[in-house]
Amino acid sequence: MREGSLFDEALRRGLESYVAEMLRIHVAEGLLARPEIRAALGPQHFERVRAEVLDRLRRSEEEGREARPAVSTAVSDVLSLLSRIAGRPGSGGEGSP
Amino acid sequence: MTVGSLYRLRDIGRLRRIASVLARHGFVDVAERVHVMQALRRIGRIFRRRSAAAEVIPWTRRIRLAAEELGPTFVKLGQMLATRPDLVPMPLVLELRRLHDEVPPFPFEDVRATIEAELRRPLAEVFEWVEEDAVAAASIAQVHRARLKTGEEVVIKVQRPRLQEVIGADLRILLLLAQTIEARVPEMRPFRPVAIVEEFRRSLSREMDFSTELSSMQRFAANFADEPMLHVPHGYPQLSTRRVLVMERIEGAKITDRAALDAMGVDVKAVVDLGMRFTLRSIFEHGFFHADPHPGNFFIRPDASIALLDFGMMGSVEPQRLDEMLTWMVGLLTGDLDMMVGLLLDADLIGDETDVRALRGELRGIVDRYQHAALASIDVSALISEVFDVTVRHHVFLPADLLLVGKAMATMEGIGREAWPDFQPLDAIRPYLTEVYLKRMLDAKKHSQVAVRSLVEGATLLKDAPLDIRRVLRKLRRGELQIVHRSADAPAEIRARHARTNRLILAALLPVFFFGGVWLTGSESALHNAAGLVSLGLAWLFFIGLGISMLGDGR
Repeated sequence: MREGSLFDEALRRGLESYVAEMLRIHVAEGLLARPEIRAALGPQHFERVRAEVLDRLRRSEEEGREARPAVSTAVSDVLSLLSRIAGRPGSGGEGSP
Repeated sequence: MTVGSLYRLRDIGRLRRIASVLARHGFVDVAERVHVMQALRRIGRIFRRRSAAAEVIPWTRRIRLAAEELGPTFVKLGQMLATRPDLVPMPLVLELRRLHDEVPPFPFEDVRATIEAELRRPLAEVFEWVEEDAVAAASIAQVHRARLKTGEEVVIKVQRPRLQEVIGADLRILLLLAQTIEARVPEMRPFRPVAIVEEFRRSLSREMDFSTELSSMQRFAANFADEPMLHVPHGYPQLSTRRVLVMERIEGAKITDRAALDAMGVDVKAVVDLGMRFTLRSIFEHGFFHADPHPGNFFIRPDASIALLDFGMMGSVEPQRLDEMLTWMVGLLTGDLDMMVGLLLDADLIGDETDVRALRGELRGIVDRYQHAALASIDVSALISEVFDVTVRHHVFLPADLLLVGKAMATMEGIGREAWPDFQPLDAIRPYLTEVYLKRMLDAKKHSQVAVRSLVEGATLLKDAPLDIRRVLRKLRRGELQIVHRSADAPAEIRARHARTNRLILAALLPVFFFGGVWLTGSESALHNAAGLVSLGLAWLFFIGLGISMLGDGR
């Protein structure tokens, strides 16, 4: 049980790290570049929020980097489970007549 | 249920009173249409009376006066309806907001009896003294100052005696009246009177249970544990029950008592800004907020901190809805119409009969006017009312939690302006909401939790899919498959058009998911492989769905 909990925590941090990287690269700059967002906050407030948000993303990314292998392990487990289901005779997958 | 069964012997007296008050306020026609008057005449207990004065008073005001006269249940019902501009017309909403919930206090003997019965010990065993005069008296309860044997200064909130019986009878009558109205007054059916009474009954039950109020106080206090300028009274769980609530006594002045605040040397503008910030935080960060923030519930303490009182009526918003609300409000505040209309479509809040282009046009009108107005001249409650009005007219379904949020924000603005006439709520609202929106949209933790949930749901779907599909195919082979389309009100032509549109969408998505899945499963990344399998599974389901849809339609 304890091992399971530790693994869950690693999975959570690893996944969060992947998501943080994706958000930072693909979403954050686009969102922060919108002029109406900048105008609603005002220059100083905007810079503060921008720094805070990007810093938090980088932290999540770095803190979970070493836990990323847990995500790969989990995905492999899911894949093998799926392939077992798909290959089970009579399941409608490869094994069906 | 027939109207005849309405007249349960024990409710007849109360029903006669309701009918008599309705008649006196000029609503004889309503009473007659639900056959209340005829039935009462039959049993010879009431005669039709029509007040000449009632004819000259606007109908909205007459409803408010009738509710006040009929007591707690109707006052509370009116207060609930005042938060539902989607259900009642705006003039009535505005009138119902003026409902007074002040009633004469009940005798101290009843207070003592209730406390002793609830705590199961004599008053003197727990309290050093209890002030006999109530500090405040409302329709549900009244409040007395007291001191505990341990020396702590407290207040005791005591529920009115026999309240459960009075409200219980009113609720029974209301429910049966609503059923009768729904059955006999077709033009009232769209307002779903039965559903309203049911919702009202649930809300009132929560408010009448003081142990729920105590839990709300504790939850609210925990949410603001990091905020020294907001104080939530400390409750005493061991001395509180469903009908008695003992909590810390707060010394201070009402937020709108300018003279008292000046005497305390409090910066009123700072306090009002703080009040608005706390309201926004409770809604948009915690999703748990005070749904009845009138001036009497905002106390300012000598150190200029705000003490919030009365947690009987709370609103809560699910995280998903919170994201939607934020997105929509940021769209409104930044003039982004695509964001606003897109969200209404994505959240499935737009009805079939909505003319999206016309809705967009009206929203454009509001946004343009608002964008070009000086901040000081913008009335947030009027803006909220206007937006609600437009959305309701265009058949946008407004969820109850959203309406409570609108009410809480509008009330807070009203309190702010009353306390500080130069208060500009948008100065606080716009940057705050934009900041929270950015933080939520770029919250990796939140998104990763959603991803895990989706992955688990996707895996479950795939795991169950072969068996489900086999069941469907077996039924199809045996000719047992029946497609039932439940849409009684929509004309057949519209239903057929929807079915065609759905098939077109399925047909368009099928190759996307199929080829996307094939491409992804060929990748070397394990994550891509998993996504590919999910995608292929969905393509499979779409294919089956398309086949079933075409077979069911005979095309």
